[in-house]
Amino acid sequence: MRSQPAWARGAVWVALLLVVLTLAACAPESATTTVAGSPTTAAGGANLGDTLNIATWPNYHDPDTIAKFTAETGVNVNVSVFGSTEEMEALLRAGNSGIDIVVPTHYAVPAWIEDGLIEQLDYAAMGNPDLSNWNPLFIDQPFDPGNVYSIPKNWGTTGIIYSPKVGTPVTSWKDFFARAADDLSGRSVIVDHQISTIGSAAVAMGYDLNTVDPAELADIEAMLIALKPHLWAISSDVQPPLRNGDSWLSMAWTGDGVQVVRDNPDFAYVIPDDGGELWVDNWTVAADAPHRDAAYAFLKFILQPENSAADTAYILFPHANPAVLGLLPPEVANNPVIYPDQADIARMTLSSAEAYNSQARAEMWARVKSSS
Amino acid sequence: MVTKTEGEEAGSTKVAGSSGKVSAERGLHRLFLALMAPGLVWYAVFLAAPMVVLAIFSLGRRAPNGGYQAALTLEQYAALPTRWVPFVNTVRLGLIGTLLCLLVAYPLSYYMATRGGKRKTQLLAMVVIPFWTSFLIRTYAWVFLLGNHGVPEVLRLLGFGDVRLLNNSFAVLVGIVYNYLPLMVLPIYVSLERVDPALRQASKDLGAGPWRTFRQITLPLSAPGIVSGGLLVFVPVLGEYLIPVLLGGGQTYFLGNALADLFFQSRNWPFGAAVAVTFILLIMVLIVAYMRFANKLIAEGREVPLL
Amino acid sequence: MRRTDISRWIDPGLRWASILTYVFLFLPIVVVVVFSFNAGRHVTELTGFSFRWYVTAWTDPFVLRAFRTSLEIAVMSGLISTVLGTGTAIAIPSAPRWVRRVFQVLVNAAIVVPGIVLGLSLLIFVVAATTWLNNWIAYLVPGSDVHLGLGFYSVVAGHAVFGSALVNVLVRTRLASLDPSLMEASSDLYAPPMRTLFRVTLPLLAPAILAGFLLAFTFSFDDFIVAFFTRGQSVTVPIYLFSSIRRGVSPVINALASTLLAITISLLGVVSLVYRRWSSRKTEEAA
Repeated sequence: MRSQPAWARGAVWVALLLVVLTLAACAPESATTTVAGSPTTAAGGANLGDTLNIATWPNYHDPDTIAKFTAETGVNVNVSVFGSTEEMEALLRAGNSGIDIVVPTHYAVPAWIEDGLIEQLDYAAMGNPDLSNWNPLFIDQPFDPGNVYSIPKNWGTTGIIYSPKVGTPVTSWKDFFARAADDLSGRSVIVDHQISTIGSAAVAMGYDLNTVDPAELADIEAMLIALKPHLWAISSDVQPPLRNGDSWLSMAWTGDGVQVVRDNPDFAYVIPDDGGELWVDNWTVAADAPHRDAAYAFLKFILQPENSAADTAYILFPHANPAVLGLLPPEVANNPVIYPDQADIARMTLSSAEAYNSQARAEMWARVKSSS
Repeated sequence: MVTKTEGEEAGSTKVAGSSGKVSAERGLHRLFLALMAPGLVWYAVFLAAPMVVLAIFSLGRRAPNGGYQAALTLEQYAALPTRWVPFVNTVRLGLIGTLLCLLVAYPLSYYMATRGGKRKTQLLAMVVIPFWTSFLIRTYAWVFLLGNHGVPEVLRLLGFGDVRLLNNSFAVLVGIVYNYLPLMVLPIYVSLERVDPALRQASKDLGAGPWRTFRQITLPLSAPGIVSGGLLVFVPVLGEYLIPVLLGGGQTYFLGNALADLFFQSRNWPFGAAVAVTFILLIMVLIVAYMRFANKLIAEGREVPLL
Repeated sequence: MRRTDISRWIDPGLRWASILTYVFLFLPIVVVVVFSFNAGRHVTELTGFSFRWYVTAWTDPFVLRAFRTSLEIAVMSGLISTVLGTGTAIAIPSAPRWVRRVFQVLVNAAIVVPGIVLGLSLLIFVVAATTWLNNWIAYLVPGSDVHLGLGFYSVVAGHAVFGSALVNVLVRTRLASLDPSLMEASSDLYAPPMRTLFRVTLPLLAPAILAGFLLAFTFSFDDFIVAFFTRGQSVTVPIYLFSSIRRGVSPVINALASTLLAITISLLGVVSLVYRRWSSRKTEEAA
């Protein structure tokens, strides 16, 4: 039999070599097998290991601040991004996730505590941070009394963005839902998140943000189904249509408000007069965290005001610690979208775990989305 | 699909000499196992077993705070009718989308197969190249094109007034046709390419007009490709998740969205599993029907492209 | 005559239909590339010309990490898919009838079943299986802290299911068009089956195998939905993108996509050149 040309044989060896190299180089940073971190030494254990895994939101951490932590402690931080708290919860419930720190929105915390997904925070290991003078709206709340399991990272609001094209400013949820079906038909967007949307609709109709009352929910459902044909979109991706001119009025979260107003100063982000949803993202530690020491070292680091301030100045979300506020550059601290008046946010309500877990609300939302 | 080499054994039986034959057969048997086993095991573990576990989960209950709680109940299946509307919407738009995809793909495939000449592979490659950008990016590009500053702006300049092209069924259909075009083009192209041009020529010589030739010769001969393409497009479209979200603006609620919401927003894993199991059963019916059709074609001596 | 009138319109009609279809296919790509040079901060708002997003794309640690993960997953699942798909394609004609039928259903299912179902079922399965496995490991090897779970490898597993079916179909099609006498000749000459495999069959199948690998790789790199469910804490490029939706998507991803497009097109050019030389040589040698 004629032998292969030499280069074909060489190609086979190259291919094999590539395979071996790939498999060797494929030391995935978020590997399936995780070995628990090194054993703790005496209080203030010096051996932190070299890895820390955080499950969090995109663009929610200042890379320089994280790099500073790594430089100080030698711990590499793997940031895993998730689009929603629900996805983080799916990860934790699946078990053996290898995650150390999770940053959920507050309404998920009670269920996580009840199901043992997160552990009680070791305040001593974090350097005993004093939360007593933090913004009381976010501290010691029903979702985690005494902040035993969580400490706020950054907070935000669910408000209204409108472009100059709406004419008269839209300043309340009542106004929002009325005009969305009326003169602003085809020009408004509501987010695809039942907590925020059903909540805001409830406020518009005079009900409580977190209602699970069947009669009230039926009213809200009727209103939303009637509204749906008038909407531009039901979508959490609110920025493209706003920037495009497709939508003039949008339900939105703080982050979107900050970015849109920054690039389009004639737009406005307002806290509605009749209230609305207030939310706060929290640092929590997973119950099966493989690198507990590193996790607490990181929390101790980030809770120091100067580090939180650097982080906050980068991500442009408000922080509950007044010491952090004091360290922020003026253009951030005085930005009314990032830091609305306390009076304005005092009108708002923290969304509840009950609303988060309500099957009635979830099914209602599915019905609204299915309707034509 | 089962191909022409079906009845053929790799030629060990032709080897002369009894000991050579025996060892060759044994070697062949071992080789066969070595080649076949890993694939079978992989499918057993990562395709079949998950479906079984899914079925088990569908008999459970939602844990109080979300997730799965072991149980043996059919209540999830009893709740299926609540997702009837998304199901109907999905099938309706899926069928229309598949049909549109076919209408767009066929002329292109025909052109490539019959008029492509030496450039056939390049033309085919050009169909696939756009798909080497991320799906999300392509879809975002359509959000721009169908949005205020895109095609509607052009239409406004041409005097058509305000036309809404985004966040409706139109946009979803554009998304479907766009993203599934290669899957429709490929099988149709393959089956058209196999049609002997002499057949068309003969038809023409016998006095048939181009439309008649197409209808009676080309179309039936490309039927396997059409059916393959139809299946390759329709079934995955049924499970589409991103297109309704990004291009439908939440105005169209597909079964895929309902499924994802059940797992993430409602965190009702057993009900989601039940919906998924029903979905799989439906798909299996379609696949088996397809295989029957394909086997019939094989029996008639024709080849079936791809699947 | 009427007949000639129609035939005169067919050719230009087909050509224009095809040109329009190609325009349709490439229009969004043009948009992607144009927006990658966007000076503005959002992916749908064009405000000027700038290279900044290319700089960010290749220096942002989070983007780079997602890119690296995507690449690793795609290479690994592509290789696994190629090995599994090729092996089964070669072996299946010699299998007993019932095995062939069962396998056929499995392959068709793997290709056609929507990604969401695949991802979902794998999520549940991996969760259930690893819980069970971890308990056994903890029992059998007390003190070991091995925790299997969702992550990199579950994504690879999911991608390889679909990828191997793709490769299988491609290789089988090519195998069917090969002259069986080539392989018969090899065994007639007393070559052990292994040698026939490596020296005759595989080289003849090479174009299909390569095409299969490329397809499996591309699918894996571009996949969102399967990875979305099975990712654990891994972050791939599509997942990074999709997660950014609620926090604002910048043109950095256009820059990434455009660079990748440029790289893949050049790779394709190289591969097609190599393939053309190789397959013409194979035809010479086999003749």
